Amino acid sequence: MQGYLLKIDWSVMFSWKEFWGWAEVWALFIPLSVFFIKRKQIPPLFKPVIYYLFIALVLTALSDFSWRMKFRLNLPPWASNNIPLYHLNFIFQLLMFAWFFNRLNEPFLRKVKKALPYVFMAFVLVNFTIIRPIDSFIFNYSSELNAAEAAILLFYCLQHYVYLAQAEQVSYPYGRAVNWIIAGLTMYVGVNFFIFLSYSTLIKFSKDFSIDIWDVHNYLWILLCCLIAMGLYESAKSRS
Amino acid sequence: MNQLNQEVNTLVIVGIATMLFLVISLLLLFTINQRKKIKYQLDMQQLREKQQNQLIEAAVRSEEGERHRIAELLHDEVGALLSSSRIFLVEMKTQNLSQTDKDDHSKVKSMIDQSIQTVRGISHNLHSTVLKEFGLNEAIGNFMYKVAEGPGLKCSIKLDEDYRISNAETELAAYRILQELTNNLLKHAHPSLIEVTSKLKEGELKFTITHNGNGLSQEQFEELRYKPEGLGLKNIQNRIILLKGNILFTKQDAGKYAIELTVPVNQ
Repeated sequence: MQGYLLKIDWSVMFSWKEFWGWAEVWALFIPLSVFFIKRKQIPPLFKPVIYYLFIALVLTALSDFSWRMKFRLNLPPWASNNIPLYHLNFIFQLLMFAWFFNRLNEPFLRKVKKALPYVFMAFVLVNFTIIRPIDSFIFNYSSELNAAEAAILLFYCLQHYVYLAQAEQVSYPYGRAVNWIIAGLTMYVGVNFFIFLSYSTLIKFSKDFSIDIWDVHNYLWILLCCLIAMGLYESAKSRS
Repeated sequence: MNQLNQEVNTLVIVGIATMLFLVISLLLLFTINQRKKIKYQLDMQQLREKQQNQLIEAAVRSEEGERHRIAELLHDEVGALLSSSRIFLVEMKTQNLSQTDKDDHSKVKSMIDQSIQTVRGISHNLHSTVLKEFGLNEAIGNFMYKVAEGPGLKCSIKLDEDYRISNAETELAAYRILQELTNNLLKHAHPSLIEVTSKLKEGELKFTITHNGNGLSQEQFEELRYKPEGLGLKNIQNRIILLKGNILFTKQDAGKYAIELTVPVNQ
């Protein structure tokens, strides 16, 4: 352990670049701090979002650690591969947000919304068994998986807006809080859908640019976390 | 290869910018749409409330008009008839009557006196001249004095003397609410003690009726006022809406109950 700690260049660890590199992890503490402060007032409707924040914290922390420390600590190959963690993160992201949208119980496209997580899981299975080799879940980043996940979440967000445009009155309380979270998710998946869709091509043609473009993902991730924090705060405020 | 890289990069940047623009436009459109919808709903709600208040006002006015008319008829017609009958009865020569007839004559006279008092009482109850002439505090005092005449009942009043006169309609509505509440107490709560106090503070006149009977909780009041038989409570609620006032039923220590009525007044 001491040997590992000695290998780290600590002057680099406390730089702006390093801080930015960990954005996916620390951004999660924005909504989580709201959750810790107001956890008694946050209504159960937001459970899926809270669960996802914790899952994402574990997965992104491990993923960033293995990516950023693989050269500094000379991590073994099995520990320096963050691809399965990313895949898992996106799968959980879809499942948890789909659960959240279904919990809203909006009387609009109910059956489709309930079926979509199963369709997605079937797609994951087909993608990593028939379309790609089985071990690609661990070794190859699947742009298609992310794009499909973003497209499905974008569909959930859009149907929410269509429902709101039609509805006289929403069928659940805490409408403002829900809208903050969905606005963040719409921004996140709307823009990232295009990034994910073109990511495999980008890695092939322009690797440096593909790394730079991930910054856009990070900006949107921070924005999503801030809006989730706003939503949770608003829900706690409305409840108390 | 470099040319291809450039093209791919440009394509991705344009794609991201387009998606960003689309998403922001969608959110803006949604926000504008929601604001319009909320404004429309608020306008509709205000309109509904206004219409409801107009209906309540019309109902209350018509009830007051009817009370006034019945009070006048009782006082001027029935009261006058009874008074005339009493005069004839008093002027009747009773010297030649037997003792039994004399007793009957005396009984009839006493019954007519009682009827005149009752008719006058009902007439004043229906249309308080004290309220019109001397104001709210005097009217409440007069009403409570009559209530205290009931057997086994003690009444006390402590009204804020700083309160003068605000508006005739407000006073009438407040008086009717207190009258209805007190009548309800006598009918359902059977108290042996009623205390009425008032306090004028920051443009609000707050009445508190404290009693030791079987009082109501706020939940019971809310429940009862929607029942078809709860006409009195409905009248109270209508007048409170009209006054933009508030009513609160609470249980206090030592088995006492309190009803707090808050009425905005323009002094």
